[in-house]
Amino acid sequence: MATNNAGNTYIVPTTANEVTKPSQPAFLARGGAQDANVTGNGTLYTLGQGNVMVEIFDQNTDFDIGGGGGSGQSTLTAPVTGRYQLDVILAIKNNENSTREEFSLVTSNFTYAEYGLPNQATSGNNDANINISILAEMDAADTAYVTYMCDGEGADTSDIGNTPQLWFSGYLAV
Amino acid sequence: MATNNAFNTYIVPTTANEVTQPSQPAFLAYLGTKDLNVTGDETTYVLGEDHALTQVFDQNSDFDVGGSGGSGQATFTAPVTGRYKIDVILCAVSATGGTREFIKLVTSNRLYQSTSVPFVATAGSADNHRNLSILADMDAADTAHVEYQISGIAKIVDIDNAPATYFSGRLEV
Repeated sequence: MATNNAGNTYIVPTTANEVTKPSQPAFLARGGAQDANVTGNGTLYTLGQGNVMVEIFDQNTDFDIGGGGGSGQSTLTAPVTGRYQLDVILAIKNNENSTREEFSLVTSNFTYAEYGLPNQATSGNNDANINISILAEMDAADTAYVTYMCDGEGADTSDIGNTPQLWFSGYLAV
Repeated sequence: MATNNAFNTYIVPTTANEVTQPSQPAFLAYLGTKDLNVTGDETTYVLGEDHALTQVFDQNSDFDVGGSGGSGQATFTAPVTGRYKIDVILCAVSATGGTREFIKLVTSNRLYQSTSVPFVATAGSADNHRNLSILADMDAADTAHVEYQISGIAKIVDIDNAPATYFSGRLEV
């Protein structure tokens, strides 16, 4: 049995009452390849500006994987006004000398940011992760994407890492 | 008023239209007792390998609390194929001197990992927090559990109990 809006199925309960929503906007994407030398000297990096992300799923087809040959940023476009749960796991490499970082989830309505002293990766252990999770309000056609910047390296020698340490997911929650 | 599947209620709106889903797979558990000396020398710690977690709730009974007397790891088993929102907060204690750490959410389909140089816990502030949140794709009968690993020191690092270490999840879409 399914509950529908006269046109399409939107809630699918099992006989045990677990509910799935196969048409609900939802996506999960992972890093496709490392983006090398993208920040470190104050340059703003946008997730998806270099290598495309790899979609694990994209219900409703609202996520753009980005890529230097395409749109240039990995972006969710809200198909309907609502509250969207967004989660990002970002990996930074070669930031041993960085003194400041800015990590932002940028939506059309608000920017959700984490500023501070970087968790510096050391030369022998060159990974540093930073995460952000928020329930964001988005209007129809609003977008959400991710930026990162670190400073203090003297040059753009810092990289953005790859799977399993680079993830971007989201869904229409309420 | 309720929406049901001809057998049972699965969405319960109030008269003010707040909606709950009392049969939706969802759990919240915390570590009730500190796990001592579990990593530091690169040993992989599995949440629930020693003390069982304490369930706050477990709608649909899909969560195994673990514990050395039981399964040995706190594990969520997906009852149905879907996308599951999973959140972990974990706190390591006595990590001073650690050089690298991993927190991992291990699902049957994928590994979600956060790696870093540990925030140096000092003698007066001996806690080092990590967290992970993701919308994970899981097939029916797939599992999810949490691992943590730190290297660079002896096996003297503890995993702190509540309010510092939590594991939660729910079927979202």
